[in-house]
Amino acid sequence: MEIMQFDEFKDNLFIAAKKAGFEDFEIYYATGESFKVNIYEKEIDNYSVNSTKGLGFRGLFNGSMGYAYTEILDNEAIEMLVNNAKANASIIDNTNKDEIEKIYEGSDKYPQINCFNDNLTNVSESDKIEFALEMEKIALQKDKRVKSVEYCLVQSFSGSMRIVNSKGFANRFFSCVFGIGSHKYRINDDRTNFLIHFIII
Amino acid sequence: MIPRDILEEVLARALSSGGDFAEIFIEDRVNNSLRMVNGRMEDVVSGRDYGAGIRVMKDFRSVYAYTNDTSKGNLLDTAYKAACALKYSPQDVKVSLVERIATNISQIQYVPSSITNMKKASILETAYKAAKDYNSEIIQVTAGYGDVDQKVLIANSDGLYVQDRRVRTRLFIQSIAGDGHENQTGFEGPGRSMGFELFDAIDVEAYAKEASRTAVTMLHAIPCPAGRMPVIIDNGFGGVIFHEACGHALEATAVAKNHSVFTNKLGEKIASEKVTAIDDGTIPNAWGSINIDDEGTPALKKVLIEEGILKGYMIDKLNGRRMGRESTGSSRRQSYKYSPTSRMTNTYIAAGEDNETDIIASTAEGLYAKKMGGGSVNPVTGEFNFAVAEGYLIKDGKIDKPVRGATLIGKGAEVLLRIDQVGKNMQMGQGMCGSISGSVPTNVGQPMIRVSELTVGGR
Repeated sequence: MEIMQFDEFKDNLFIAAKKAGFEDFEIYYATGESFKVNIYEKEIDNYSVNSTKGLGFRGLFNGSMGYAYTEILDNEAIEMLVNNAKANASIIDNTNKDEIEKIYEGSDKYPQINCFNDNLTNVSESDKIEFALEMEKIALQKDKRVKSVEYCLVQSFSGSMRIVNSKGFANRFFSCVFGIGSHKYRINDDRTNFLIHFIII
Repeated sequence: MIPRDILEEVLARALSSGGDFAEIFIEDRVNNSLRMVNGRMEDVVSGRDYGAGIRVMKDFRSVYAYTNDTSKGNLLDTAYKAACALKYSPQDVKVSLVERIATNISQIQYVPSSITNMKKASILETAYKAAKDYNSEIIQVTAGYGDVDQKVLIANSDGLYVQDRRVRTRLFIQSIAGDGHENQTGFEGPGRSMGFELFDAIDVEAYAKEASRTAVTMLHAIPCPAGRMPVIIDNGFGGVIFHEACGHALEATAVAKNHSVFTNKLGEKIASEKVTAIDDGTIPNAWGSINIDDEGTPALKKVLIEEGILKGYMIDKLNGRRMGRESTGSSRRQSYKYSPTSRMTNTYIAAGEDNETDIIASTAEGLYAKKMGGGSVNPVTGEFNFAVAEGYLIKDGKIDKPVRGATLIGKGAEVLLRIDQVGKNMQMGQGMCGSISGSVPTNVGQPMIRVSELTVGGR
């Protein structure tokens, strides 16, 4: 399998979609990077660092919208996306006129929403580990009945998404970053309590 | 999928900062799903998931990294990131992989992706029609179809290199009965480790009618009285209580960290002597079966409880280290995006010797839970609360009026000791089990059992 870069894949997919008879079509491409660390009894219990991408394709065929997606950008995926989206469009019921789907040509104006903050991407992985260790320490010190902290997590995610369609719309949208800390306490008599904090920085 | 010499290099890189075990899991999976509501095809989605997960261990520590860019450069980079998290002494390790062939437990005849959508849709039309035509009180029918064709490659620093292919197909039918004032539901969801030949093996119309029968029966049911009483739980999906309240507590994920009521209880009596419980990943074509687990260990049939005595746990490699025990072929994950851990496959209470008609006849008063629904469990304590999807009162040893709104409330460890009758009609029910390594297909199962006393929630 030969993996393609986004632009090459998009160009080949659009050629194949046109050839297959789609009236209009669009791709949604998302990429992301995430980090997670879980501390248990002062040790790293679980640690992961990840990068992902995914591409969704939708196309109008005989007035019906068909969908398919892939996480790999190779020739086989182009064939799969086009054939499956076409097959799916052929059986989906579009008789409900309240649910018309179309490919949007875009707008001249979009509100500027800043969902990205460099501060979090600049936090090192070792600082995040230290933060999780500190969370566990504080949770255990807070009340002597707390026997253990089963989950003591720090997570972060950053990503971007892009929409390109056959009506000429092409834009790379906002990226966002956030972090999560959570603890699950286990108290002496085996009762548990779970707290989750969402921190958007 | 990826040349062996590259995998050897990636695994060596993963061990470069002092890890003592490295593993790579590569997945290429095709999914298809269709959903028809009241005869109208509302959702049809197809897709291909692809990526690799790299895990590095050092003693009891584990680091996981995943990516869906499997170019050599990126895999080496991902392995290096994982290695860096361990921060032990640098080492130069050479890994040599030896290919092994996994024994295929489940023969597949028709690969689902080669079947047209029209044919899949016709199955849903058959299900919809049978369910809708059951009774004029059926006001909505949702029929769903799903198939998965997952190809995996697992290689590790112990030299393992093995590939596997898992094909599964499932049908869902949910019927809603209504009388203008209230609605009740019925659900059936047969699935197997099979291709499209599933529909040669099951009677689609019969499942559809059964979903509608449950919904209509519950529409005419009276509210369930609350209290402590004997409860008879029928076979099939009734096994969900054992799965949730006991099965998860027998997974090494809980046992190794002393988060289970069954930790350090091997050899002790934890259940009635009538109870033998098994987790068996080797049943041909069963929904929860696996040729190899997601660490590459062949599936096993494991006796968990034998005549009431705790005999074993379900163990993965990492928790096996914590427990000083070998893997039992129980390590599973939803996809490459999850680090694997110990999970169930096909978990059931084995058939006993009691006759089902005698179990009911010997119960003067109580609740008969013919079908179980969803619920919740505290995994640390085993305290559970499950809805009864179809229930009946028992009076004078006979099944009486249908009741709705019943819930079963208890503690897994206590219920195991109170099972005083175990029937012969063992059957499995299919489900998707959620836990820290994601959602995986599992069978729950049991014959008819009687719990001598259990708290029933109701009106």
